[in-house]
Amino acid sequence: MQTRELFVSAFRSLLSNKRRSILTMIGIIIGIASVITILALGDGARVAMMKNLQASTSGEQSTEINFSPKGENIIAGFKDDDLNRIRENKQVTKAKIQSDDQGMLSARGSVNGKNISPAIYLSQSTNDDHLVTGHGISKQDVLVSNPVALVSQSIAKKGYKTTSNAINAGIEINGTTYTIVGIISNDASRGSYNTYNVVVPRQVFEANNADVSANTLKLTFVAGANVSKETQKIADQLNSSGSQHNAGSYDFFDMAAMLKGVSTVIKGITYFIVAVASISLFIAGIGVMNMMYIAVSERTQEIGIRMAVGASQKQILWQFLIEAVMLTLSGGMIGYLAGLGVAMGVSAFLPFKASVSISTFLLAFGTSTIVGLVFGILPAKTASNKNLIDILR
Amino acid sequence: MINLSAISKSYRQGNDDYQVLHDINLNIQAGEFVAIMGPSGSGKSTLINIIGFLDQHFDGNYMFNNVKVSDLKRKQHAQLRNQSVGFIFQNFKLITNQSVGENVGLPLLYAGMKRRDIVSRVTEVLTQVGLPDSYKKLPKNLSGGQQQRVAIARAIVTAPNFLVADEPTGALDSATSAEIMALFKNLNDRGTTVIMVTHDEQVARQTNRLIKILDGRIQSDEEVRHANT
Repeated sequence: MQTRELFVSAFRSLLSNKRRSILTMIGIIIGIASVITILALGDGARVAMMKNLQASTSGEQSTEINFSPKGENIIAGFKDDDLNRIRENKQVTKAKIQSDDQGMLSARGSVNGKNISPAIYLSQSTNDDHLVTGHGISKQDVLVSNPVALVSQSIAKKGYKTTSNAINAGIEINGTTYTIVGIISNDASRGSYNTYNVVVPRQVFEANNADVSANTLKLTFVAGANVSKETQKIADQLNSSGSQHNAGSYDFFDMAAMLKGVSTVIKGITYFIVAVASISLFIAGIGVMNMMYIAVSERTQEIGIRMAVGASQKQILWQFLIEAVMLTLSGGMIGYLAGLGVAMGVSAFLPFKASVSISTFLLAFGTSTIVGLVFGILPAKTASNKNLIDILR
Repeated sequence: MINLSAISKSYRQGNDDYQVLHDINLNIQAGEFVAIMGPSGSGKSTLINIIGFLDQHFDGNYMFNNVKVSDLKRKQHAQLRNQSVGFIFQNFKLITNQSVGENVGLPLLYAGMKRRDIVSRVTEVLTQVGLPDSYKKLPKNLSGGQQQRVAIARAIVTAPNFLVADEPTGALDSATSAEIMALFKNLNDRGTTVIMVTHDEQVARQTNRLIKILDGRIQSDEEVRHANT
């Protein structure tokens, strides 16, 4: 018999008992759907975390080393000697000193004699975000490096009682005095996390605070490098022989290791829930087995006829096995789609997206096939081992 | 073609062995039209199950076209059933949820033929048994005689060496029986070997050779004299 015919006849016998086939399939659908939902969401959470590793699209990853001086001294932690030594490392593609990646930092200062420690946003160009009154930082200010500042309502009130008094008054930050030209709202922020309450032009700030701002070293690595290990090595080396190792310490906060740890935990939790969900697959498999046993005993006559006209035992075995696999496989595929749908729907209310990978598809495909084979083999064996003479009597 | 020597067969019933066939010797040549007669329990069905390769558990020697049947494997038995013999049963044994055409084409499927070739062959055979245009019908929509014709079509579709019919007219009225017997006769005239089991003397008289069995032993084996010859 041609293999195609085996599939055709299996499909037709499933169709001839639609209700029973569908009821049996529901178990598989629920099992696969729940496994896929959990995997897609768990994977999505993990992917979202890994994104925070700041891997660029080309696979490069970057880390930062901070220099914190001892006491109140203001020292630049990185000198050219240090950079040259770091650049000799083949894994490092870029080593750059910068103030802060986000342009956010905290500083010390005073307004009308009162000490404040504001969060400062260094604006690269013109800026009038979250402006309440006054005007923003203009092109002109940036061009001629005017020492102007936007301050939040609360700082304005702290120094000058009312926001209108604060306009054109002064604010001192890290020793430089800026003129307040505009007032911004108290909840001004960049992205969803970085709230700030003072905005000053970056050029002006950096010109006056070179030492303070130059204490972060941004390292970019070639794709596939073990960034945590390499960065730690560089930090250790700086601490033992860096230009300022006596005046402070070079710290590397290993974001990657922490995220990796978290993602391992998420993975573990995901697998645990998947294991629980697969219990339903096991029960569904028993349902398939039950249905196949019923089908075999119902169709004893048919088996006898098929054998009498020349079907071999193997062909009978395959007929019932393919029927079982077809049932679980179609249930598995429907369950896969349902699982994806549920995961997408749920992730619309979550801060990360469900991730769809080819591996989850293969998992659904493989699992449902295996369930069909495992729970179909015994009934199929029963069918093929029937005694022809007894059936036809 | 069929050469049985010293065939014995016994069932185990509880602690006793019950012997159904005793030392059967039988030769059937290609082209014969044979009836096997005997009362219930005489072992005639057991005998044709052995002849038709349905039953492999027996003592003695069965040579089919000079091949020793008991030496063959189960898979080869299935192949013999598919290629060399056509079965016709008393209660037709059609698959009820498949169409007439599919029932008839079933042996060809197992022979590995392509679907397109099967359809043309099945149509040809259905015409031969007098049921053209019933390819798509379901067996339950046919009369008993028509169902038996379908069964005969299924038996001859692979052009086997011989047909084995177990009480082919047992479930039919006398008029329909006559039609079916005429069909067998027609097939035999075209060269098909037919072996049938019956307990109806009338039916048996229409064949060319009558073998009577009693208690598992061949009682008589004679040519049938037809009135008009």
